[in-house]
Parts: sequence; structure tokens; C-alpha cells
Amino acid sequence: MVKVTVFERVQNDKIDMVRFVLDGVSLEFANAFRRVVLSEVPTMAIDEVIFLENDSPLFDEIIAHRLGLIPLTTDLKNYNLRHECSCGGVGCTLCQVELTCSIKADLDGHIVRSGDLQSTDPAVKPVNDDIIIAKLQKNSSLVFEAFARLGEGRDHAKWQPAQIGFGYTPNVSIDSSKCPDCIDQCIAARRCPEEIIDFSNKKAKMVKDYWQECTICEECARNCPMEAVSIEAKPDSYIFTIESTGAISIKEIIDRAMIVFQEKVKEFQEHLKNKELFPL
Amino acid sequence: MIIPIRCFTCGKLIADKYEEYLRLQKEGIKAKEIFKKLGITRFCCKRMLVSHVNLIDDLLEYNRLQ
Ligand SMILES: [Zn+2]
Ligand SMILES: [Zn+2]
Repeated sequence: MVKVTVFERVQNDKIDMVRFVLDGVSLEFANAFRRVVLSEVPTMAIDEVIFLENDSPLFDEIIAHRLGLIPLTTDLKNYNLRHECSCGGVGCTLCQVELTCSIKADLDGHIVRSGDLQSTDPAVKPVNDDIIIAKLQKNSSLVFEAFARLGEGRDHAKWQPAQIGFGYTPNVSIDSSKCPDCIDQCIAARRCPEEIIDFSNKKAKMVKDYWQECTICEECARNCPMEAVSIEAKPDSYIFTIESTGAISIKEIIDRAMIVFQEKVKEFQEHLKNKELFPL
Repeated sequence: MIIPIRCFTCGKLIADKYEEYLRLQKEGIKAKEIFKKLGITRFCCKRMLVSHVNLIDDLLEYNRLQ
């Protein structure tokens, strides 16, 4: 049975992240979910830039690349993917947003930030106003028009909605009957980079909720002179970390990933039905 | 050159945190606490800030308009 246990949730103006344990699924399923989030949940990103003036020390291409990597808040309901749009990929208000920037520096070392971008749609704008784009010297100017489009992570990493990863749930057990031989100090506890082994009562034991921090580095098991530590991965249990770039919320990312995943399964089923080899 | 917009490895946004990082560093706060404050947990993102050399300040001296 599938079980999800959320144990960490941070949500403020700069961070939107969640950590949860997914129990009762196979490694393959967990990875399928991860890959759908990374490559098939669409977000907005700048895809085309027209430079009118650029006096900065950075080349047009560098600035264009930097602009592309800026995450933009995305409204998935009101925009279409370019190749699915009724305009046929030419570019219309249903599939692209124009962002303009016109800066003339009045001071040396003027920093152009994402806040200087003017969007035609207030729903599509950089996730925050502090992202450094370029630096200008006095009287230099930077003028460009940029077009943001919906895209998928499989085409370019700039369209990935989140940083997502998962690892095994650790199950560390310490045979404390071997501990009395190490009276002064516990080498395993000292070696642990996450400091999750407690040796205060002259008996080594794992601290509460150690599995949230443990990275399974095996430093403890390898260095314990008594070989009292054993590490296992809990079967069919994975710890997921999802960190949104801010383009779309974590809830939307998961919802959308599930829709995409279900569509894929359905499509697969349809294909099987058409084959005589596999009568369903 | 100039601080990259995202971490090369994982893709986390870092360009908005660089100035805050320098400010906290000037205050004498330990790196471990700065990263905690900025919400940076992975070492791939930490190296982006730690190993960055802001060469653009030197290049700005050579004016392209002249
Ligand atoms: Zn269109
Ligand atoms: Zn990183």
C-alpha cells in the first residue's frame, strides 16, 4: 500500500520545498515520477531575445542565456505549448509573453536585475526582483525585447519546474552490546558528518528521526572498530526532496505530473489494445 | 565573470542570493549559517557561491563606448 509521510515543508517568499517519505512503491515507479516532474511538467521561460542596445561587457548571447535561465511565474491554465497552439507556432497572446527591458545606467557599476523586466502579462514575471542579469558602467545602456514561451524540461533544463531527487530510507542499527569496549569515545559518532549518533551514555545509539538527515555515507559502519553498526536501505521506501524554482507551486507540479503520467499509461493501454498479440 | 543564474549541477537559482551572501560574509557570519539562512542545502550550490570570482567588476573598467 502506498503511503506518503511529509516531514519537512518550507514555504516562504524565496523557498518552496517539501520532503516526504514515499512507502510501498518500487524504485522504478519512484524514478518514473521524478522523471515526469523534471521533463514533462511545462513552465514559462524566455526563449527568444532581440537586442536593440547592449553596452555591457557581456555578449548578447551570454545575456540571452542568462535571461532564459530566469524562472518565470507560470499560469498553466491560460497558456498553450507553442506547437499545440491554434496559431500554429507563429506566436500569439495564447502562447507567448513579451518582456522588455530598457536601462540606461546613471552610475558606475549599475546592476541590471530581473525587477527591471517589464512583462505584458502581470501573471508571468520573474520569481523575484533580485536576480542579477548584467552590470553596466555609467551612460551604458541595455535595451532588449524578450519572448517567454511555455516549454518542457526535456527540451531545455530552463523549463524544469523543480529540483527533485530521491534516496533510500536508511535503516541504521547499532549493536550496543559491543560498546563497553570503547569507553572514552565512539569513533563512529565522531566520524558521522551529520552528527546523528549519540554516545552520551557511553552507549552508541541513533538520535530520534535520524533517517531524515542520514545520507548513507557509511562512515560509521566503515570506521567502527567493533563493527557494531549495520546499515540497510528500507525496502520500497524512498525519501523525496522537491524544491520548486518558484515558477509553479509544488502542489501544481505534483498534480500536473500525475495527469501526464496517467495519460501515458492510458496511451500505452490503447496501443496494446490495437495489437493482436496482446488481446486485452 | 558574473555570478551564474543557476547552479550548474542541480539548477537551483543562486543569482539572487549572491549579494546577500557577500553581505552576510562581511558581517563575519560562518559559512554554515549563511547557507542555512539562504536555504542552500546541497554542496553543488554551495560551491557556486564559494568559488565564484566576480571578474565583471574588472572588465567594467574597460569602457566599450570609447
Ligand atoms: Zn499561439
Ligand atoms: Zn546545486
